[in-house]
Amino acid sequence: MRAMATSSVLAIAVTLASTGLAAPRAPVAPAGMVLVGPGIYRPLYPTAPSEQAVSVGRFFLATKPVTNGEFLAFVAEHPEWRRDRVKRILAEAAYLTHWAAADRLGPGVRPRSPVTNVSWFAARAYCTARDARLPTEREWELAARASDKAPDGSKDPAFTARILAFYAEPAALTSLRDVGQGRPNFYGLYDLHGLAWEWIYDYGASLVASDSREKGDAARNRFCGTAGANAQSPSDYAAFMRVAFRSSLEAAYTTTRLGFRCAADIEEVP
Amino acid sequence: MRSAIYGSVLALTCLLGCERHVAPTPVASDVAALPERSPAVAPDTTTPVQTASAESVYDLPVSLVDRTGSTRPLESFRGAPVLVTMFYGSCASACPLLTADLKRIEAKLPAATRAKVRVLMVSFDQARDTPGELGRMMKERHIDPERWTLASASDDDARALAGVLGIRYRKLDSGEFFHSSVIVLLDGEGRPAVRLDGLGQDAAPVVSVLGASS
Repeated sequence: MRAMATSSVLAIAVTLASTGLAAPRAPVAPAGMVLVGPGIYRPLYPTAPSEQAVSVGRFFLATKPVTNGEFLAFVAEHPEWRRDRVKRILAEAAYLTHWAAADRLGPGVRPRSPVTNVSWFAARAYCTARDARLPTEREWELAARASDKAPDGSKDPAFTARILAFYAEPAALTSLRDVGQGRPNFYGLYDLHGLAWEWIYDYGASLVASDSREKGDAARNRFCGTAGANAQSPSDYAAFMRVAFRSSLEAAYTTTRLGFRCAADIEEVP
Repeated sequence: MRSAIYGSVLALTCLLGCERHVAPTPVASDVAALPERSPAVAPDTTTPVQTASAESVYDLPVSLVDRTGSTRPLESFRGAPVLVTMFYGSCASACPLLTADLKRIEAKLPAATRAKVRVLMVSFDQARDTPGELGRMMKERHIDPERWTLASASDDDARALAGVLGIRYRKLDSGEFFHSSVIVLLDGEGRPAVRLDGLGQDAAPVVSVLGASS
C-alpha cells in the first residue's frame, strides 16, 4: 500500500502539510524507519523567548538503535572505523573496547544488543554510510516524548516513572538486552528509553544558553548570540537529565551505555 | 536550584561509567562539575592542551569555502601553526570581538613568528556567509588576506569541526547562532596546542608555545 505513495502523492502531501489543510499523507519510509512528527518541542533551556516552543517538521527515525552486529558490518565495510585504526581525535581509546577484537564481537557481546562505546564521529559516519544522519535534539525529544498510547506522554506519571527508573539503573552491571524487545511507542519506535542513551546530532547545544544566562558577564564574553534565555520549569526531570548528560559529552567520547540510531529527511518535492 | 542541577550531573556521569570520572578536579565554580570531560563549559581560563598523543584535527575531512569561492580542505593548513576559531558573520555582538581578539594575540607575537602563523575563522553560517560576504568582512575589518582566511563550512562539516575543536553552538530558528568563543592554536601537524576559552584571554600561552617551536 505504501508503494502507492508516488512522488505526486508526496507533492500533494507536502503541499497539504504546509498549508495545514489536511493531515499529511505518509511518505514511504526507508527500511527500518518510521515517520515521526510534525510536532512542537519545548526546549528545557530556550535560548530566546521565540524558542520556548519550536516546531519540528516530519522526519524518519529508525525504529531501533543500531546493534553491535550492524556496526560490525559497517566496520568491515569501512575499516578506518576499526578500533585499531580509528583516528584518535575521532574516537577515544575506549571505542568499541567491549568487543573481543577489532573485527569480532566475541561470545560476551550480543549481536542484537545496541552498540555502545561509540563516538559521535563514528555514529555520524555510520548513518552517513546508510544514507541517513543522526537525529537532532528536537527530533529525538519529540519522538521520545511519545508513550505507547499518545504522541505526548510527558504528563503521564507511569510513563515518566519508567524513564526515570532506567536512568537510576547502575551502568554496565548487566549486558544490554537485544533491541526491539519492549513495547513500541506511539510512532512505532523501540528502546528510546530503558536500554541505552543515544547520540544526537547537536549533542553539545542544549546548555550553551543556560551557561551564559547563569554566569553573567564572564559568560557573555564566551558566548555570542541572543541573550535573554528563559528556562522552562524543569518539571520534566528526565528531559533535564538528558540535557545534562549530553552537555557533558565531547564528540570523541564513548561510554558503556551510549549508542545511537539514525534519522533521515523526508525528500521535499519542489 | 543550580547546585541541585549540577549535583545531578555528577551523579549521572557516575552512573554512566564511574571508572572515568573518578579523578577529582579542583572545582572553581559549580559549573565545573561538568567539564571534567567538557572543556567547552569550563570556567573562563586558558587551558594548555595535553598533546601527548598524535591527535590531529586534520584527521577529520572538512571542506572550506573561502572568499574566492574556491573549496579547500582544512588539511591545506598543515605545515604552519594556525589560530582557528568559529563564528558567524551576521552576529552583531561578540563575534567582531573574536576578530579583535585574534588581532590582539597576533600583535603579541614577534614579527618573524607572526609571519609564519596563519589565522582561520570558520563560519557555521554557509548560507549567509557567502564568498562575497566573507570578502566584504575582511575588507571592513582590515584583515590581511595573505595570512588570514575567512571561510565557511557546510552544516555537517561545521558541526564536526566544532566537535574536534570543542566549540559548542546552537543554531536558532531566527538564523542566529549561539556559540562559545574559543580560539585554538593548532601546531603544524594540526594538533591542538593551546586553547583559549572565552574572549580576552591572556595570550601568553600562545606566545610561549610559538616561541618554543620557532
